[in-house]
Formats: sequence, C-alpha cells, structure tokens
Amino acid sequence: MEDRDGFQEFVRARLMSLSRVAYLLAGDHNAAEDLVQSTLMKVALRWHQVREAADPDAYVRRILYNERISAWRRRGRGAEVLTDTPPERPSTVDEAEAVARRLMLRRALARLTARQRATIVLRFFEDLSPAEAAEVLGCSVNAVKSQTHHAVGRLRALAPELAELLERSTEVPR
Amino acid sequence: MSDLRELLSDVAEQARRYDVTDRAVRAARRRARARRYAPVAALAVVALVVGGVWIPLASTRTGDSMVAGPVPWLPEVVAAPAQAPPVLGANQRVGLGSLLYRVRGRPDTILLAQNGRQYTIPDAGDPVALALSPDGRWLLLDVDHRLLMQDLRDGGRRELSTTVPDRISWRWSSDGRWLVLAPALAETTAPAGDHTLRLIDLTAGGPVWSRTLPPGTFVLGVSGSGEIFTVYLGTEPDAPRTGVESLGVLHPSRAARTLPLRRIAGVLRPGEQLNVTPGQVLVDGSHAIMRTWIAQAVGDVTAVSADDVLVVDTGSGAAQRRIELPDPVLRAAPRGRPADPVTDARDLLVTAPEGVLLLHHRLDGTVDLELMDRETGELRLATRRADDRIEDLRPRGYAS
Repeated sequence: MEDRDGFQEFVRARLMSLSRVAYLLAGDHNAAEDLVQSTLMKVALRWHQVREAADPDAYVRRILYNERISAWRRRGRGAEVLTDTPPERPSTVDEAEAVARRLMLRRALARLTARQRATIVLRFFEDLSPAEAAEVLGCSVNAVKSQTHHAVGRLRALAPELAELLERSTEVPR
Repeated sequence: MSDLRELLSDVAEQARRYDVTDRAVRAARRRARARRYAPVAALAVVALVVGGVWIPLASTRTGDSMVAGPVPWLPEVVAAPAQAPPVLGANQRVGLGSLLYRVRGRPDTILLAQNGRQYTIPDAGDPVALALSPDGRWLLLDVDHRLLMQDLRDGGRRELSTTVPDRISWRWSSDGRWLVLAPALAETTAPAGDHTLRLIDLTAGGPVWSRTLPPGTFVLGVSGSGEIFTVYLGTEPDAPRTGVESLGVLHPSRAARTLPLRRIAGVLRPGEQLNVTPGQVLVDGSHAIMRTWIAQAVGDVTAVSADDVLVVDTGSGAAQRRIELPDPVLRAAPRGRPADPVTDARDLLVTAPEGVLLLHHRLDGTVDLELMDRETGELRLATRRADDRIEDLRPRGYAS
C-alpha cells in the first residue's frame, strides 16, 4: 500500500473514537471489532482518495456507517436473543442506576433497524445536524428527520423508563 | 437524569480500542490482489475450456471439504482456504452450492460448491450473499439493496424486487419450490416499516403473490403447497404472550385461516413452555417443527432455553410426536463479560431431505452442524469446523 505510514498515523489518531462509534452501532465487542476492521480495510483500499478528500474524517465516517448497515442486512438473527442477560455488578446505588440505564439503552438500541440506530448515533452522539447526517447516510434531510422521529419514538416505546430523558434530548431540534 | 448524549457516551465508554489496523491492511492487500488477478483468472479459464483441457484449481479446494459425512452434499469438515478463493463472477456457473460461511476477521462470504470448489463473494458495494436455496441451485444476493437470485448451474440472474426493507427475512419451502420474502423482526414491529410479504415460485421464475401484513406479524415458514405460516408478535416488546398463540395461515388462492396451538399445550410437561418465535420454528413439508422451552437458573439470572422438538401437523395443529434432545447445559458467563450464559444447546437451522440440521453450540465454544433423524431423533455429526475462525455457517435452505 502506498504511504502506509501516513495511513497508520491517520488511523492511530482516530482509532479510539472509531471504536466507540463502532461499539454503539454494533452493540458488542466482537461485532464492533469486525466493523472497525472492515472499515479500515476499505479505508486502506481507498487511502489515496481518503487522503485527498476535503474532509477525510467525513469520508471514513461514511464508510463506517454504510459498513454497519450492510453487515446488519447480512446477519438476520442478532436481535432475537431469548435468554436473559446477566446483570453487570454495580457497587453503589448511583452506579446501579447508571448500569441499569445503560443496559436499557443497549437493549432498546438493539431492537432498532440499522438506519434508525445509525441516525440516533449520528444525531445524538456525534451531534451532527440533519444535513450532515444525511450526507453520511446518503439520503435526504427529510429522510433523516423522519428516521430520527421514528427512532426516538421506538426507543420511547422500547424503554419507557428513558422517556423523560428522550423528551429532554429531543426538545430542541437542530 | 442525564441526557441521551451523555447516556450514549456512557455506553460508548464500554468500547475497547479495537486495534485491528494490521489485519485490515493485510485484508486490503488480499482484496487488491484478488481484484487485480480476477480478469486474468477468468481469461485463463476461458483458454482452458476452449482448449478442451480442465485443470482443477487446487488452491481453491480444501482437502477435508471433499469428504462428505451423513449429508452427501455437505462436507465433513469446513476449512478456511489458505488463499482467498477467486471472486464469484456475475454470470459464473459453479454447479450446485452446499454452504456459505465466513472467516472471522475477513469481511467477505465464501461459497462452498458441492464439487469442493470455493468462491469469494465480496462485501458491501458488491453483491452480499444471503443464502442458498434448499436444492443448492439458487444463490440469494443483495446487490445495492436489490434482491437477486443467481442460478449457480447456468449463471443467470433474476431480480426479485427493486426495494427491500433494511432488514429482510426469507423462508424457503423444504422442497425448494417457494421462497417467501418478508420484513425481519425489527422492521415488522416498526409501525412505519415496510410490511410487504412476497411469495415467489422458483419454478415459474417470479413473484406470484404479495400482500401487506399487519404490523407485528412475522412469517415463520412456507409449506410445499405454498401455505405461509405467520405469528402475531405485537408491536410492543413486552406484549403479554401465552406461548400458544394461534398461527395465521395464508395462501395465494385459499381463504386465510388460523391454526390454533392450544392442543399442543396438553403435551407440554411441567415447567415447559411453547414459544413460537422467529428462528425457532421450521416448516417441513406438511409439518411444523417446534421447540419446547425450559427455564434454568444460572447464577443470578433465569435463562429460558430451547429443549425438545415437537413435530406438529400443520392441518390440525396437533403434536404428532416429541423428539427428545439432550437437555441444554448452561453455565454463567465468565466474570466481567456482560454476555449470555455459556450454553451447550442446539438451534434448529434447516430441513433437508436427509433430516433436520441443527447448530450445536458446545460449552467450549465450538459449533457443529448436526443431523437429526426425523423419526428417531438420532443425532449425527454432519459438518464440523476445522477451527474457530470459521463462522456463520449457512447450509442450503438457510433462512433468516
């Protein structure tokens, strides 16, 4: 690969943030690791275009999100787990509440479609505007707004305990 | 309470640093090589055929994969090829397919043909391989969000639909005549999702019937006579369920009917439940194969796992016989792993002429394909993985 050092340096500076987004999108460590790897493989294959792009981070982000949506479509059985999940073991009451909220959110996110989940992560974790999110997902701004509306509504239905938090988070649309 | 961004950040903090840069670079090199040499390989094959000479491409075969077990069309062992197999061409003839699988860390799917040859089906942006038909003739592909079938015998392609939901499910009849396309679970329960069901006659070559399903309705399977079995799961995740809800039965030329499962409740043993859920029911000719479920305490949680098999008549809804499988064995996950309990258990996978194929998950993490005799319930090892890099085994007739 041409300019391998440049590629390595680029990835090193962004690996942790890519890993975090991958984990949010994929929901578990193995799938997140696979997602990071397939994304980086595509970045390596197109390194020349990525390096020359006006916004290389946006380019990589597009690859990451599209990889996740494609992987989701390939694998059908992921969300239909029927066994209970052993709880994480909190040490204090506050921590217990935080753990419970995290679990609720993870479970609810796992029931969203790939695009809905990607929309939630882009809008509320990466803090992108609808226009920016639309560019990443390759769809219209209206489609992002409608996906956001459906995704938040679905989260509210799946995790009623988070309703108040969701209300507050979506009060002021950008 | 913190806002959604903070909570998402909390979840994101659980991520590790997935340092797979070197693996990604190696995979990119392999991919670039495959792309570079694919036209050369195609020309070489043409030259050999024109010259009347056939030389087996040894590097694309794995020796073990040529030895069949109790299922003649499946290899006894699936082993990852030493080199990436050649890319499957858009109109390539390869004979009948046996199995799709993936190698951990590689993004592509590999098609193993019945003659032992293997082919790479590239990842997103190119065709995404979904499944093989029960007779091994058709490969179901997603090409840029369009569903296509490639005839592996003559290389021809047919388009099945121009738009598909984000997550789609498909079911084959066990004789390979019918294919049903329907929304997957997440799409089914989304009120605004695409709820279209399409029935495709593979002998006639196209869709013969479609209809819109009510939200919350999931397709379980299709019989050889074209009857489509559905279950209403509701649109809310916590909707109360008895486990013996009636099934819906749809047919292109007959009135819809319901198939009550109340009579099955009588054959359940104390502590057992019936749980008609996606992936846990197979339609096998004029029978449905269902699982009984048992609850077991594992550490601090109670896990509900599939246990025995019930063979149910799809005309009357009566359980005709029970096939006793070994009880599932569960152990708490190792400390620090917020995962499901470690399980020795079997999942229904597909029906085949030779019997029912199950996926056997063992406590040590290995996963095998087992063949269950329809009458006696005898279990035999059908296909094992050469190592744990082999994953996502999808034999003929795989549904999702």
